[in-house]
Amino acid sequence: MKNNNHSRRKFLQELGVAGALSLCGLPILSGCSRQPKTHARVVIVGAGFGGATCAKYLRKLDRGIEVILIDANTEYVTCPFSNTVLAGLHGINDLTFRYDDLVDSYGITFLNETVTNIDPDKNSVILTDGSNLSYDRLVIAPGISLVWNTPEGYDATASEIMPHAWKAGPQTLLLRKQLENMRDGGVVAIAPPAKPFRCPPGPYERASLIANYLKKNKPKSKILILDSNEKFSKQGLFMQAWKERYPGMIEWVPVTEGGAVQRVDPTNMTLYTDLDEHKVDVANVIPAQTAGKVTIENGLADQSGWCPVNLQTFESTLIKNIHVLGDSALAGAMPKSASAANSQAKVCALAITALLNGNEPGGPSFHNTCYSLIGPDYGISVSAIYGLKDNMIQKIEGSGGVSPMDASAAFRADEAKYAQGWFDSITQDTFG
Amino acid sequence: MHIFQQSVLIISLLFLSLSTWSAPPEKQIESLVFTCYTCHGTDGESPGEIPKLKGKTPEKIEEKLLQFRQDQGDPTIMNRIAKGYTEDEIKRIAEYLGGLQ
Repeated sequence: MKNNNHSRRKFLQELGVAGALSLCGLPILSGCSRQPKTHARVVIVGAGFGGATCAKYLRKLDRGIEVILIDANTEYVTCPFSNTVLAGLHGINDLTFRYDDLVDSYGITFLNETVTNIDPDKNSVILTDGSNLSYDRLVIAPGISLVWNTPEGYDATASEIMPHAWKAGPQTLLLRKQLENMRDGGVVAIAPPAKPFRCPPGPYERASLIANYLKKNKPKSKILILDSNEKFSKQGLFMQAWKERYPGMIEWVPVTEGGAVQRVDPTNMTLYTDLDEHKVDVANVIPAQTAGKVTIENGLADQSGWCPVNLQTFESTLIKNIHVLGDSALAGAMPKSASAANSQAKVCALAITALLNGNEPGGPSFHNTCYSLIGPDYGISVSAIYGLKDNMIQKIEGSGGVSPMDASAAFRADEAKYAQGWFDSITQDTFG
Repeated sequence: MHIFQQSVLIISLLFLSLSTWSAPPEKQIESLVFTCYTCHGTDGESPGEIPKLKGKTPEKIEEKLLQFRQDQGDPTIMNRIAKGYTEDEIKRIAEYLGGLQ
């Protein structure tokens, strides 16, 4: 309550300033600045699709809000399209984005730092160098944390031998190198965790694009998906495409047929399921996930391991003045995807702008579109529009769905073209 | 005013306020159009293969979206997306996007 009164008082003070500024047009006051005066500061932790979009849209909506964007890295490698790097269709540089445009064109302050702690009573974050940074509103968009030892034996060291490549960058390049070095006739295992995890169609797009590479370069090889789930996103479309494009190359073992990997042994490249053990040449083990570490350590996640939020504002229901969005948030029917994070970030930016200006947040509209590539000329998609109903994010009835089954090659090629267009647009909408 | 009429009025007002209370807030126009920008670029200025929205008239945008809603106009994905908006929302979106300079 105290904080609330404080910001309201501060806001009222700023109103006085705004009143004076509106007189700038008069000749008698021609000396005063036309720049909007900062009336609030928003600190954003995490500069991926969620955090960077939120930063950009806050400044787009209200230049009077000072935005400080904090990330431990100076550039961002996107998970979307990282499977094309595994297939050798793109280089990692095509997926790497810096924050220069956000700084230069939108006046955002970028801090290459790590937040060690949040002090919600003082409305401030503490950085690794011990300094404090105060905020009126804090936005946390850290993506996911990997849960080591799920499966058993899979930790940071194991991930250097059996890459997860579920955060793009060095892990993506490591998996690519292993595929390049693999013998023809080798077995590549992909082991997705039980839901929920980041990018639901990701493991299956990965299988498709690795198959695309292997078919051309090591055609005797096989891909084994050891799945902790009994079904998956765009399943019918993926399976149709695999039969069409990569017959006999991809084997999928669902949890119901003993697919779940319980334990790994990196020293002998073996994955253990309930019924079997699989010695493989390349192992892509994707561990279980939770909300980003900074949210867990600061009491923003609940027992599920994810962060409950008010879905109109993305303000945490656990700690006031702190908003959590993207993969870390419990966002109803929306998947954990770049597109969803981008959409939630805009809703959050609109809500924060309203709140800092003393207005009620408006009704939100959400969108998600995820393309998956089977090959460079074969794309499929899933999409939906969402709204707020009974305080939950729910799909608008009749909207969305996946690409049609049995579509023509021309249709699939168009969707592959639009997949690239989607990537070009969303990265511009987020970082540019 | 008769007591009967008064009661009807009061009861109607009560119901009106109750229904307003429980209804979700009207979707903010910015929130509606921002959903377009993910794939069509900020302010509809797509840098790649997805069609630009900036520079199109409100009439054209509304006409296309209404077509897509009926699975017309050769869509790959826009039919699935356009069905997520009411006719009124489509009109508001088209007016906003058509007014972008």
